[in-house]
Amino acid sequence: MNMQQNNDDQKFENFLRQFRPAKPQALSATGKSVVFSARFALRVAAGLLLIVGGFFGIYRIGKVPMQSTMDQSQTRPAAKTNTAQAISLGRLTRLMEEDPAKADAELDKASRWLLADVRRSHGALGALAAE
Amino acid sequence: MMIFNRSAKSRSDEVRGWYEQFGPALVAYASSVLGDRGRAEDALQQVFLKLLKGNIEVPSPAKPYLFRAVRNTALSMTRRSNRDVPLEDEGQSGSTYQQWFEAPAELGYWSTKLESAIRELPVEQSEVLVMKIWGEMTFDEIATVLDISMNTVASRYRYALAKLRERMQPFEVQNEHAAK
Repeated sequence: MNMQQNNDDQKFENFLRQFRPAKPQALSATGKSVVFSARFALRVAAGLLLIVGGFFGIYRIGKVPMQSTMDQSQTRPAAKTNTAQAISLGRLTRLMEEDPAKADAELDKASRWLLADVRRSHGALGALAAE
Repeated sequence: MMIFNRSAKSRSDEVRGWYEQFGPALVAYASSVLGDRGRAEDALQQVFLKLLKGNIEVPSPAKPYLFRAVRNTALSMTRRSNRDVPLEDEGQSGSTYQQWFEAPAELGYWSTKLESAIRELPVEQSEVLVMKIWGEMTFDEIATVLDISMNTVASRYRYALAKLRERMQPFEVQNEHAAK
């Protein structure tokens, strides 16, 4: 009984071996995985955002003395906070690896100070929005 | 333990040699764990790219080590995908569907049937089956990969074989008639 079962099992195993597993795609020659590329792209995007945001922040600080006194009182504290709250690229990269959700939150927070605010009445974007 | 201390070229050749030799069985194994061929290919690429780039000690023989590495990668992919919000249905992540098995044209239908029969098995049974049949591994080697006893491996294998046999029975009968 047992021998018969073993024999049957062996026949079935041989039958299964007629099917060959399909070959995988060729091994990537570049040595870069998809995950690596996605992370790299994310870091570059975050870096670019900070650089553009930084330039815009500097531009805004430079513009402050030319604006009205009322405007100065509104914008100067914001510009100061800008510098205080800016996060470094290194810290952001580290956060991306350790805690992507926290990194997103940091970027979100930074964008409030760095990106143009369309609601500000005397800005170029405000003027455009009014049109 | 065999430590890589040879030239980068010979190391790369050796890793690529393993890919050629064990790749088909490894990707079938990863498919049985992940239930998806596209993600199985990703897991395989990740493991071999790490081997190509890193200074990783690979014990000799390499086969059980490679199966274990693919298993760990596949399981960590499963954990990650459980955390993430699924964008697509399981088993349809690739743009083009690729079968797990290659078979002569007359067996084409049955190779699809075999694939779905393996998918229906519990993972702990299907992985043992794939390692035994297509990985050509001994129960002892499989026990090392899974870190379980040989008796457990043997029993999982027997269950898997019995269930698969039940599902593939019409073909078995047909095959026997053709052989006569």
